[in-house]
Amino acid sequence: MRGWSLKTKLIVSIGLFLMLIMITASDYLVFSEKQLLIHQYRELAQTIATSYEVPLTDALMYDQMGLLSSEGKIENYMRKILQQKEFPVVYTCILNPDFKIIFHNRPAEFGKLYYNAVVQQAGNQKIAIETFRNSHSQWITQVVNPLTIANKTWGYLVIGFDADIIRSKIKGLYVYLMSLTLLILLISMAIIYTISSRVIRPLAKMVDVIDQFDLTRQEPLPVPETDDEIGFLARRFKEMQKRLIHSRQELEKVQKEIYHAEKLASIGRLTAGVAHEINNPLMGLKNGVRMIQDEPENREQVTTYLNLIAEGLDKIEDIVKKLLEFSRKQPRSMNIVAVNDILKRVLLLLEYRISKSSIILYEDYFHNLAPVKGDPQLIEEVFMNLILNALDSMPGGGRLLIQTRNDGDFVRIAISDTGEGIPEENLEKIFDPFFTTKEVGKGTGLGLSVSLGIVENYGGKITVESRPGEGTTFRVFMPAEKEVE
Amino acid sequence: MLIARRWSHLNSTRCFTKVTGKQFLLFGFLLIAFFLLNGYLYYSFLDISTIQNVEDSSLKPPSRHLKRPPLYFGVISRYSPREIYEGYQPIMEYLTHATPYTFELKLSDSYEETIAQLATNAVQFAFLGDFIYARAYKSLRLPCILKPFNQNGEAHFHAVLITREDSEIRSIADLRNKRIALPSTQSFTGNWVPYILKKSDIWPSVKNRLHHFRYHSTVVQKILQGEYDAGGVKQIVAEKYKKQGLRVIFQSDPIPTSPIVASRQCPLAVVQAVKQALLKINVQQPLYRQLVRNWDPEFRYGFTPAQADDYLKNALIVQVLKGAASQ
Repeated sequence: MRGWSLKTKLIVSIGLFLMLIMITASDYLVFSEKQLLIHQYRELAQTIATSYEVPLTDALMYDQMGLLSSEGKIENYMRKILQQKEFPVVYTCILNPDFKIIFHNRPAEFGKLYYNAVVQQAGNQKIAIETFRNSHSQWITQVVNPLTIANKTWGYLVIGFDADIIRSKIKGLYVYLMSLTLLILLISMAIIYTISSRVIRPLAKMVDVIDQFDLTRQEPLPVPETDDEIGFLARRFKEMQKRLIHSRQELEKVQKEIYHAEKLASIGRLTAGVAHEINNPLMGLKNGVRMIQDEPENREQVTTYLNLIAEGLDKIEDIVKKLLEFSRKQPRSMNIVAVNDILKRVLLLLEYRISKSSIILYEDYFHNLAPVKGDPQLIEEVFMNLILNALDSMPGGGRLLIQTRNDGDFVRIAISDTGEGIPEENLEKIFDPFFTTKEVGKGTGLGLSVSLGIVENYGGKITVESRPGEGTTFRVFMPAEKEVE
Repeated sequence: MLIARRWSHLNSTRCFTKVTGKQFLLFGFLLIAFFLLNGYLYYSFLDISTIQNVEDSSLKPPSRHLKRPPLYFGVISRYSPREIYEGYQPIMEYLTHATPYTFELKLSDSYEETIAQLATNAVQFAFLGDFIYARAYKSLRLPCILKPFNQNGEAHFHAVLITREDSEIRSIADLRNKRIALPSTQSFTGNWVPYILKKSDIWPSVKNRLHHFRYHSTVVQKILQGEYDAGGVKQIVAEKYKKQGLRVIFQSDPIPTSPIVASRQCPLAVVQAVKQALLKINVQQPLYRQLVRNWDPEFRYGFTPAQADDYLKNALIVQVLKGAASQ
């Protein structure tokens, strides 16, 4: 299997087309020329044979009637036939009416019977001309001219012409036409190569520009400036770059909004737990303040309660700080991230929610887990979404398993629950934006879609395995970083 | 960022058309097939044979079977051998077809030779001239069997004096000091011309300017070529070449057309067969007209029985014979 460039395709296709056309045309020409040559040489053979018909007939007649001395005349005529150059003669002879050789340029043939298919045709008193390959593999155009006067046959003039001259001409023409075809083909290929190179050069530049184009660019890349269709395409491509960059910027803006909205939604889902986290120290604070108010002079008690108040305030401050960190819009950054730490941080935020729902948490962190590269905030968002979904699926309690492993070139994070599971018909849809099975107001339907987008953006993937009534396992695969910076 | 990543993934693939192995094989196969076809065509171009099995050993020449040993017709050498064969050979073919015998021509080098052939039965029949027949009759008494009709259905002809059409010669008197071509000394015309010239006063000026040629056609050619100013030929020959620019300035009285003579040794049955075959030619019938189409013009109008007296008692022939004898 090979990929052919446009230039190669042009050269091969046009070259082949030209070759086929020219060879076919050459074949036709050779065929026509062959017919013409055969016809011309038949005519020539007939002309030569006919031109000697009368003198030879007369000579034969005089010779046979003994009227006049024809001594040497027939030999002279035959010598002249042999000497003519237009159509070289291999042999010539004269047969008597009984087809016996009475004259031959090779005296050894005298007296022999000579009868073949051509002589047979001439037996009907019509000149016969045929071309054939004889038993010595010589190509012969044989003409047999009956020497007759008013139906009386005095003999037959037989001339064997060297027909190889016709074949040589056909061969010559064929070689000439094929050479011409090859030459024209080579010239055409060179011209096509030159033209296609010129045409394709800006196209190749365009391909380079397309290769270099990245939606993260702020400005469109320069494109080749030509006045032809490729220039037109380049200008259109430049316009498209601008539109894409603009769209990308708009999309990023919207994406950020979605991320934030989803985060706020997550915070909403955290609120109950957070409120409880804050409420406990607040109760302690309130109790401490009341105890101090009851006995302001009891310095030992005041000191103890003030310490408890300070501790409670620290706890509240810590919770609020974590909440702020999670909800804050931070600039995106690419860092080496320890997945185990991120998971622990997320679970800390969900601690109350887990304990409140009678969920038993199993944490199975791989000690030498490879780090991954990405934005810690976004990765945290992914885990938060997946664990919140797991908790939502177990309102009456259950088991939540968090497990991390190295898996080839990836780090695998499995989040399994023993919740109600996902019906098979919904498995295909759960990553679609705005798909949710929760009640109105309890979910945006963007959580899994956004999470998948984040993971895929880092070259990872999310798989899901679920059995309704038994539970669901989400597996997040993130490309493992080989070198820890 | 998500879009950017997807775009960059697409961008990394060059979108060239892929040629599959199957397509490549098909393409190669077609190319090879094309070249094989071309090779076949090349070899077929070089095959220029127009016939197969030329030297087939089963071919045997046809045998030339004759009904009987041939009988020969002599012809006096009034025309060239080719002209004689062209005009007389069809008559032989007709006779061979119409009688139980096979006939062939036997040409001679001179009028006398034909007479000698008749005398010795080397030829059984002969086409003779009036003059030679009449002269030979006294010694050989050869039976005359037929004479042809002319185009008017009469059995006589004329000897004529001819010149070129553009010649100033209009009469015998204009022949003074002119070169005159004549046919054989054994022909009627070859003797008739001196006979009439002797009767005029120009004879002394031309008697040494007469030249005899072998054939009538040679006389015509010599006049047309301008080598001779005038000449004498049979009327039928003059008519044959008239279109080429001849003019007749004088003609003889009618004399019987040339006789067909049999040798004395020729069996009567053969003579009768020949006579019957030739006498039944009726040129009024299309079949016969078609038959005689290629015959010598002298014999295209049928035949009539002839007798020796037709020639021996013709006044002009007698006078010409006398004139010739007196030389």
